[in-house]
This record gives sequence, structure tokens and C-alpha cells, in this order.
Amino acid sequence: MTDTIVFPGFSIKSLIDEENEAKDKKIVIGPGLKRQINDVRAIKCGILRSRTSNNLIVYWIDSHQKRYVAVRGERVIGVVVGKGAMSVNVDIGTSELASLSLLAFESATKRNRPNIQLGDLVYARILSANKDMKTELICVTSQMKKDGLGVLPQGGFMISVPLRVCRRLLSPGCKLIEILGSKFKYEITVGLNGRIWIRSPSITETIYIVNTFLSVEDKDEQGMLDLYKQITDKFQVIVR
Amino acid sequence: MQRLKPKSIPSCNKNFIFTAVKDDKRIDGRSSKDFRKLSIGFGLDYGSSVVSLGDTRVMCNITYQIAEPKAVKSCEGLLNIRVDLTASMIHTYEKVVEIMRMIEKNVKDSRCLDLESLCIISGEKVYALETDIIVMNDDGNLPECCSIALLASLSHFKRPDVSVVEDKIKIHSFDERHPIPLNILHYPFCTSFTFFDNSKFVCDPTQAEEQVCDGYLIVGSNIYREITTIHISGKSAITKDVVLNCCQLAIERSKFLTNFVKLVVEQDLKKRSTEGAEIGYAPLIRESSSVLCSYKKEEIELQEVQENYDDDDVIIDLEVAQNTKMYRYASDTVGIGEGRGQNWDFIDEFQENVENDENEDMYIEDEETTNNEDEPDSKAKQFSKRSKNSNKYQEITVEDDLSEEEVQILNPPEFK
Amino acid sequence: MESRILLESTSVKTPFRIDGRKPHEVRSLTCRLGVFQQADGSSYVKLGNTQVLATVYGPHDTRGKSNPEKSIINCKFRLSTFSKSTRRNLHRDIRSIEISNNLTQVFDSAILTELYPHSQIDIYLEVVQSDGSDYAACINAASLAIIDAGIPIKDVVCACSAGFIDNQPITDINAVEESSNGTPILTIGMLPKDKQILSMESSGGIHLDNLNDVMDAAIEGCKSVLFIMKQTILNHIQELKD
Repeated sequence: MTDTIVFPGFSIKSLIDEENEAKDKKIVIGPGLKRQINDVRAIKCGILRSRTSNNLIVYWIDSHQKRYVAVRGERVIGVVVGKGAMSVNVDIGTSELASLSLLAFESATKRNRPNIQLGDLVYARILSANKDMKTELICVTSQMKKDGLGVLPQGGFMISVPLRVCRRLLSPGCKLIEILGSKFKYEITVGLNGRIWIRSPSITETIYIVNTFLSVEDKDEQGMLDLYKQITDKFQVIVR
Repeated sequence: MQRLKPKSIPSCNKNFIFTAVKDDKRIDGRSSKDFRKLSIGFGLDYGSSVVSLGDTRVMCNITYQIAEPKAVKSCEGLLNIRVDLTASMIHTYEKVVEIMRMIEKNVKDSRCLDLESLCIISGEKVYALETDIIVMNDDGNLPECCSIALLASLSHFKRPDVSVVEDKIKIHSFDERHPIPLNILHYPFCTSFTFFDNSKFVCDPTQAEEQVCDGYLIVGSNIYREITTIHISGKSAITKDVVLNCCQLAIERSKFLTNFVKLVVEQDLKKRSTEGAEIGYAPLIRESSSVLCSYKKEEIELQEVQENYDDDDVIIDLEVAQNTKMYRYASDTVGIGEGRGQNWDFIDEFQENVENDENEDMYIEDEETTNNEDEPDSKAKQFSKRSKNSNKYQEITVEDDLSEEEVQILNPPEFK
Repeated sequence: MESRILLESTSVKTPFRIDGRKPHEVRSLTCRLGVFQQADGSSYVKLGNTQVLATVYGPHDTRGKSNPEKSIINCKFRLSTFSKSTRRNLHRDIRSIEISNNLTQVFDSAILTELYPHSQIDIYLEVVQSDGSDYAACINAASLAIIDAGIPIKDVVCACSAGFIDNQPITDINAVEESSNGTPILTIGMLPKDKQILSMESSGGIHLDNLNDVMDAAIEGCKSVLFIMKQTILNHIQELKD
């Protein structure tokens, strides 16, 4: 039953019972599924997937969505739209602005605050995402290290894509970022809220890379393979 | 690309667009004077068109009414233009007004349409054209796209012929007399130019470029080198020379658009006169949509069709029933028949003015063709088209799909 | 203070217009600053028979959202019910909203809004009597009112209308010329020092070959209007000094 298209209301209880008769594993219900009293039902339309590890089976639904909903632990790109005394308001594409404390940066103290202006881009991790509260972001890992988070450098261009494009780019099977890297020198940041930031030394290259990522949206497996081939073949000679 | 709210545009995007424009480059790979791909499609009705300029898509519909003329201009028809921007939630009411006034000034004040030809009885009855421009997707350059849609619809539109007999107006249906196209004197198209950093400008901006621009200039012009309207707004330092330069470019663009619109309208009207050609929006949608999923449909063998029915009012044509095909699409979905091309036709609004006997294109309500009681819409009225050659008004069986649905299939095969 | 300006006609033939003016003659312009006590800035402009009152309030607190980078300009244009020969309804029609939008754009570019973030500047314009060139008179009135309020502005914004009748470009259109069928009219609002056009609205078809002359007529008209406006401002400041 996994890897088939399911509709909202579809019950996966039978599937769970079937696949877990003898095994004693813990079952984790992921996004797109909701547990009801005796039943687990799909609440989104999409493809049902599952993954088994040592003592866990995870079920989730892959759906097509453009609007991002904040989830704890995900890394996102946000635009600073408001500044306060001790925090900044960041737009991450959710229904409400998120707040990012100015102390949540590596080696930041009350006297030593990071240099953030309105309109800057930040790559941050979602600390808390409750539906009843404002989303909180931080720019350090749990070991208080930077690890790539923080204010993104000046320049570059940011694009918005559907969420599954970002997930596809970050999945282990996708080689697009590496293949482009073999031909171009560029910097890229992928946020799970459907935003990608790209910076390249020349304008033409940035435009080409941006358009490549924008075209990933409507390509299937074969289309991606064609795209890899096109990049490797077409750009044999680059005048720098 | 998705739309960002105006205040959440990152400064890096704005700086990038400005720097790129200095080098004559844009995000989608065009140069500053390139326009996006333009395509125009027409619907089944005369005067209905959809124009897409890149990702910006605008639909325009023209309908007519008979109304009283204005007291001041008693022998001129009326033209009402309405622009609907509700689909793109980002725009304020001010923007709607701006676009609506731009189109009005361009088309009405420049007198591109001969309104006197729309007069029926001077001072009493004239044609009032209602134009509805609906913005389906906004990816920048709305004034240009809306003006193209409006002019394409106006040149495609045909009104019924009218004859005045003593005091009565007789409106002829499209079958009786050929409908008459509108008399368009010239085609004024709008062209948008957005300015970045004083004198650098781009033509045909996308939404992203419009949101970060310094100022914009919209020029309405036609092929006779007349400038019908100019609208300048924003902060950039536009001088007189820049305006004149942009007007030159706008006239070039108008020439191209005038020829393009005339060609497309001509092609569509030719298609209508040939038998069997596909007209309307349906073929366009089929071509342009991407297939997300596909199913394999299997034909189901009907085991038996009997002429066994209780209701005397239901008449089944055995031949039709035996030739009906059933298809299985999924484990629990079955289709009867496949459907055919549309054969809808106009409902003549002014039926009291039209001689009823001759008109064979009217729809009648057939109370007799009710389905079986099991079917949920047995109470709904059904319509069937009277075929031109058929004299049997009481018989309901006609060679179209409706009769196939009325067929009672007995002993259906088992489905798993 | 009243001044009457007579422009030298530039063409050989000098036909007269319906109100006796020569083609490039601007109507008599009268301006006054500081007309109302309670407003931060106000002005009164009389261009021929067109009379406009402008008031400016601000920069003041915003009622709702404020812009952290600059001041919000809010401009409202209104034609009084008694301004034309037949009584009009008071509701705002499309034309008033369009003119309000254009005025907002003009002054958003001209005023140095970056100096007052998180605030709002309101400009209210009322046309008391309308006899053509309403938009141009409004720009002039609002410009004077802003100067009276002491709000920093890049230059004195001036505006004038121009048209094209019988192969002759004419400056400063009146109501009769405006309403006659098919007269192409254009209004230019500009910053005179850099010759930068902030707003241009045109309707009716002007042939490209004539466009240059018509724009020149409008720009010349702006110069004469500017002269009177500057004199008025100087006199007003002199009075304050004394």
C-alpha cells in the first residue's frame, strides 16, 4: 500500500496491522496522517510512504504544497522585516512573522549584537513551532556553534519554490547541486520553507543557476536525468 | 515563481535586479527590450478571449445589452469597461483603479471604437457593450496584457443584426442573418516600461521587477504613430527625451501587436467556418496542461442488454444500447460512454422578438425523459436538442449522449 | 498677491482662444499660503476660474501600520458638489480616486520621506470651483501647502496642462476646451530644477510628431506657474519676518 496515492480520509490502520503482526516495533505517524481513536487516517492527498529502521517504522505522506507551515527543528531562510530592541521579526512564509532573538547568534552578548538590517536574509533553525504561539528561531545549534546558520552574505538572489523541490534537492538521491558545482562556482542555501538563496561571481551564471532550480518544479525522474546530462554536456567550455 | 509580499522582498533581490539591469540582463534571461511569449486563445462565444503574456494571464468577455443612450450623446452606443483583480490578492483597490482608468483612457478617450455604429434608434435604443476583464494570474505588466485582451475580444466580437420595423426592433439570431463585427478604427495598445536607477529601463516587467522598481511609464499607442495615453509614476528621473524615446519603442510594439491580433482573430474565424475544427477553450487547456497522472481504461464487455423496463415513459433504443461502451477507470469507477464534442448553442435572449416556428435551436424541457427512480437526479429537468431534421417531437431518443445515460443496464458483470 | 502673466506668442500667426487668450498664455494665477489656522500647512490657488484649497497635516502618528523606513503619504482629492455647473454627488468616483493615487505618487517621490519613519503625512485637496486643469492646480496647491507646513521637499513641484487644437499646441486648458470632443490633453507635474517629470497624464490621441511641442508647451507653462509660486512664497515669508 505504500507508494500509492491516498486521499484524505483513507484509513491506514489495516496497513499498519498487516505489516506489524509479529514485529514489536514502535510506529511513528508523520506529516499528513492523524491519529483518531482507534484509527490512523490520512488528512492530506499525496503518496503514502514508509521507512523502517531498527526499532521504528515511520509512515508519512508526500504531498504537493507551496505554503510552508513551521515545524520544529527545520532550517529555513527568512527575510528580516522588523527590528525590535532585543529581537527581530522575520518573515519565513508562514501565516505569522517569526521572532529571532538577537542573542541567539554565535558569541552574541548584550553588548555585542550581530549586525542585522531590514531586508537581510537569515538562515535559522526553528526552535519552537506551536500553533498557539509566535514561532521562534535561533541561529545557533544546540552546541552554541554557528554551523552555517546566521545572516547570509550580501548579494545573490533568493527564489521561492514549492516545498517538495527543496526536499528533493536535499534528498540523498539528487545530484543536481553537485553536478552544477562541477561546472560553476556558486554558493547555495536551501531552506525547507521553499526558499533557495544562490550567489555566484557573475550575473549571467547566477541567472542560469536560478533558472535551473526553477525548472526542477515540473521535472520527474527522467527529466532530472536529462537535466544532469544537459548541464554536463552543454557547458564544456565556459569563458571566465 | 511564487509571489512575495511587498515588504518581504529581500534587499539582495532588489540589488541583484538593479545590478543586472545595468548590464542589460534580467532574471528570466531576457534583455531589457525583450518581450515575453504572447499567446491568445478564443472561447466558443464571440468576444471571449484569454491572453497570456509569459505567466500573466488575463481573460476578457464582451456581452451586449440594449439600453438607452446617454442624453448628451444620443446617437452613440455605450461601452462599459470593468476590471476584476480579485484573483490576485496582493493588489489594493488603488491599483485596480489605476489599471481600470488606464484601460478606459486608452480605449474610450482615444475613440478607437466607432460607437455610432452601435446605435439602433437614435435617442432611444443603442447597444451597450459590457466588457469584463478578469485577471487570472498577475506576473507583471497588467496594463499591456489587459489592453491586448480587450482589443482581441473587441475585434473577435460579433453582435446580432438588427432591423427596425416601424417602432419595433427585431433582433435576428445568428442563424437568420450573419452577425456583424464591431467597427474598430485603430488599435491602441499599452506598453509598460519600468525604470531602475534613473535612465535604465526595461520593457514588459515581471512581478518581481515591478515590486522593486523606481518608477514606471505606461504608453498607449497605435500604428498611426498616435500616442493615446501616457502615465508616469514613481521616483525615477524621467526627462522629456526619455519619454519620447519610450514612445518610439511603444509604437514599434504596437505595430507588432496589431498585426498579431488581427492574424489570430482571422485564424479563429476561419476555423469556425470549417467543419469539425476544434474551437473554444477546451482544446487549449488540453494542450497546455501537464498530465500528472494517467489511467488505463479498460473496456467492459456487456453481457446482456434486455428490453425489460417497467416505466412506459422510458423509451430505449436497442441499437444505441447495444453500441454503448462501458469503461473501467479504477477499482470503483466506471464510465458509460465517452462523451463527445460540445454541441451547446446560444439561447436567444429575445425570444419574444424571434419567430418561434423557424428557430430550430431552442432548448425544450423534456419532462418525459426522467430517469429511473433510483437515480438521484430523476427529478431534474433534462434538456435535449431538437435535431433539425427530426419531426418527431415526442420521441426523446436523439443521437447524443443523453440517451445512453437513460439506458437501464441489467445484470451488470461482477466488479472486484 | 495677484500677478498677471502675458507670454510672448512663439508662432507667427496668433489665433485667439475661446476666452481671448493666446495659445501659450497661462491663465491668471493667484496663490495664498497659510489660509487655515489649525492645519500644519495650507494654501489656496486660483488658476483662472479654477479654485483649489489644500491642507497638510503631518508628519503625525499613524493609525494602523507604519513603515519603518519612511513616512506614509496619504492624499485625498475631492471635487465639491458645487464645483461644476450641475450639482454632483459627494461619493468618490473613479476619477477622484485616480487623481488621489496620482497625487500620492507625486508627493511620495518629491517629499523626503526617509526623514520621518513610522509616521504619516496627510494632504487634503478640495476643488471649490472647477474650470479645467483641476489636476495641475491641485499639484500646485499641494506643493505650496507642503512648503507652508515646513516639510522638507526636493524642489517646488509645479504643474501645467497643455493640449493640441487645430494643429496648435496650447497651454493651460480650460473647461470648455477640455470637454470638447477629442481634444488631446496632457498634464505634466515636474521638479523644475532638474527638469524631472514626476507625473504625466495624457488622454486623447497626440501624434508622436506633435508630442514634443505639446510637452514643451506644458513645460513652459510650468515655468510661468513656478515664477508666480515662488513670488508668493517669498512675500509670505517676508510678512512673517515683519
